[in-house]
Amino acid sequence: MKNIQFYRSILFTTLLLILITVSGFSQSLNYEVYKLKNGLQILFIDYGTVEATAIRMYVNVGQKNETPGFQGISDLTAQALLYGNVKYGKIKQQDLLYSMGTTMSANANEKYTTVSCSFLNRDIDAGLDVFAAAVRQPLFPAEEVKQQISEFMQYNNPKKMDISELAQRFSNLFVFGINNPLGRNTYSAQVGKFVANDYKEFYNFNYTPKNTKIVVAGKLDKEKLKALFEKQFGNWESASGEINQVSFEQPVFKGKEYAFVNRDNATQVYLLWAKKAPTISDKDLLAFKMSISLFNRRLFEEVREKLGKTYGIYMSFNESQNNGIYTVSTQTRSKEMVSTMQAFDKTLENFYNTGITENELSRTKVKMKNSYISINEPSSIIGYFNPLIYPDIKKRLNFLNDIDVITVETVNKAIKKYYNPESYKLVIAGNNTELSDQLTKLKGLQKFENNAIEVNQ
Amino acid sequence: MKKFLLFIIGIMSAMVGSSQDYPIKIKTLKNGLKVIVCEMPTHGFVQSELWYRVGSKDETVGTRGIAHMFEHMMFRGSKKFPGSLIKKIEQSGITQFNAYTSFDRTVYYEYAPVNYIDSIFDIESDRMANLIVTQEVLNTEREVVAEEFSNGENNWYQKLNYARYKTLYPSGHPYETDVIGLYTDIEAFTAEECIDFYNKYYSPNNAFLVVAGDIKSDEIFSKADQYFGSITKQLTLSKRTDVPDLFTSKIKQTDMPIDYPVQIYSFIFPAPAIDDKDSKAYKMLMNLLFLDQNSIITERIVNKEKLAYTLYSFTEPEMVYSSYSLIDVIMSPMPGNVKVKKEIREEVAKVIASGIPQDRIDKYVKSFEARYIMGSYEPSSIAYRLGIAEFFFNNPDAASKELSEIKKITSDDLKRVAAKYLTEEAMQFINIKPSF
Repeated sequence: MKNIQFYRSILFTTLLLILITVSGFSQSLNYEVYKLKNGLQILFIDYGTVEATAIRMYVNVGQKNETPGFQGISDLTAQALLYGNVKYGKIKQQDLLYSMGTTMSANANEKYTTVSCSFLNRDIDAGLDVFAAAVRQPLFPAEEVKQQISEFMQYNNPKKMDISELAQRFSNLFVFGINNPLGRNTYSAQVGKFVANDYKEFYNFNYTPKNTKIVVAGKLDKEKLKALFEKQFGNWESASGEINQVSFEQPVFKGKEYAFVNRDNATQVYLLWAKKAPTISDKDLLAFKMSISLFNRRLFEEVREKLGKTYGIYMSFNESQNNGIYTVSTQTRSKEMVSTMQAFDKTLENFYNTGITENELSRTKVKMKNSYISINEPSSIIGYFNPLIYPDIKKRLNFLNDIDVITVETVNKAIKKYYNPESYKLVIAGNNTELSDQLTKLKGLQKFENNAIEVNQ
Repeated sequence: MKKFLLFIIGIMSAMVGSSQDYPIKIKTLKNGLKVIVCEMPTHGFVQSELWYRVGSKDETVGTRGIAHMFEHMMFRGSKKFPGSLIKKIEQSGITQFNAYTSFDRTVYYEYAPVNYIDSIFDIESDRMANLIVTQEVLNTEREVVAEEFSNGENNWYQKLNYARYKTLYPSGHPYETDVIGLYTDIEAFTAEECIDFYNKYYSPNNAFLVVAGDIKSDEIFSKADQYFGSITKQLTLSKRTDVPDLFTSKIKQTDMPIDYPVQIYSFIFPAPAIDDKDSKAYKMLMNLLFLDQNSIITERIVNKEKLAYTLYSFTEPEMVYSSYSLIDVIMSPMPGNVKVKKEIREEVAKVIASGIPQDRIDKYVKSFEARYIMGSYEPSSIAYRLGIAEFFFNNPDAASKELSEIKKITSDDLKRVAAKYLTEEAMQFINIKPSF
């Protein structure tokens, strides 16, 4: 069966789980960088105890590259890689993967696209053949693309979205603005104009050997794998080169700014705060990361454990997105909107004022190291060595030592910089009828119409 | 009598078995707590899971949701660790921890460096023996659980599940109420009810411990005895025999509205209990016919004819008692969708008449084996497998025998099981359509 429904009561560890899925290793890692003549770089990492291999292809294209009117095309194109290719139709491809006990996934985020799969070593020849056919020779069949777009449109009605999704969509717009590709949302009327040829053009321009890197981890026979990659990717040529270095302005935060979007019939309200965070090149990035679990603990303790306002309140920071923000989100009963906002403000202010202690930092360092060291699956370790985000593998390997040199002072300095209690952008999604009295208390509140996300410039 | 019983179940039994590629060892403490240890390489880390044989199946009228509510209370302090246990666990350095409640069981787990095993056992044993439940904390925590319930009410699919679940099971069935419970009951739990529940179900002979990682079994047995050995409370174990028959029971509603722009055909079939001889063949049948990525029906109505977006199920594949399997076919709302129902019935009828082609069965076995091997990295996966085997079969070694048992299933077995569980008489149906 596809899903088992459990009720998990303690989601506070979500942050730790996220860390684990994106990072972790032993510093004595055995790795090798291998380059094909066409410029495609492959990183081999010996990891794991099982006779299996995990592969992930990183393509340097994502939402950041989408021009007005083409929002969503990077993710839709990535998904459509799995709809059949010159060598294998969709059904045959699924059948082969099924027999090998695996699935292939492909998606794009703000910064980059990934295609991932794992195989038993006994299936690696056949597996890499299926993988390469999908990423190198996709057909984007018109009927499949039509079905995909139909499904997308079905699930993207802004009047029927859940409050969590509405808040996320409007937060992108509110924080980044319509002139930033991260602020432009994907919506039905715009996606409905896509045809298969749009995907082909997008693919041909962006999916090139020089714009792509591959990471392979597992119990590896490297010489065999090199020969296989030469066979499957050696003759991959493209007129385009390394093309996608895009930069754009970081979001600006000016005091406390509020926005609201209505969801009829909602009985809860979703609160999504966005705040300035360091980017990957900022020197205080690691010090800031050390503060995350401690701030999460305080939020959990104050808002959930002491006040019972919510089931969960989570700070979220995705280093690999490198978008210059972090968010805090929670969902609570409508009548508790303002009191929950006040509890957040108070916790933020206290954290800003008190910072962290030496003991807290020591515990955080141990936990952070354990989160990395404890990784067992190669499919997790390949996320840690994302070559588009961390091009210098030696520097990345030094991460555990970097943790050791962080001091309380540097963390508290980062807290003063990134936890200013007087500055954030808050998006509220909920039922206007139930919230109207409370909303009047918010100065400068910007009210969005539901269709406000349906603009592209 | 009690002393005699304790003596009988307390015979320290040390057995040696094999699971996956790693050895497992088992020992039962005098108080009935079974300890299952799997030694495996994990970079010096260990997964510890304490499984209690209690879930929403054990709730009674007026306390629907108390199993899950109680799981929350288990993080609210014990005699040795008063106050927030979450804070204490975090401060102890344990890397990951959490818990879940299902219809049949409640499981608490931790993942940490092996030298934290004392901290883990110290916390788990103290909250098994000496939990503190106060009305004040309960009043706060019930608000948290009420919000968890409301989170579901504000998600279109979960809201549908809440509403649909109420239409499914007959009165008196152990799965009559969804795990989250009833809002009105959650709002009214008392500390006394919680303490009664705790005293009744949180005992060593109603639980077992699974530990997997870079550990030595003798050391784990010794530490388990040190921390859990002195807990004496006992539960008289029993399994219900008065479970209503789902073949003759009828669901209460065949049409439902949904506040979302999709149409869902929900097919409902009776499913055997895990210890039923049909259980493994039934699971294979449902995967091959409906749920696998290349299932017969997915291939036809999703991939070839493009009449539906996807097939989905949220029901658990393994249950102590007979239950329902729900298969949701998610589509764009259109008048022509009736064709989907017709085609699914055609495919079901074909399987009842002719079974499933052998090549599909062979692929299923190969796929199962590959997934089984690839699922052997994580101590959490190993602990889960062993836990499932112990929970349902009282034998952790059953995990490693599953593949050989699956290999024995034939097309005729699938045909026979389909003819029993998927007939027109057994199948029920809900048409879920947008209300706007």
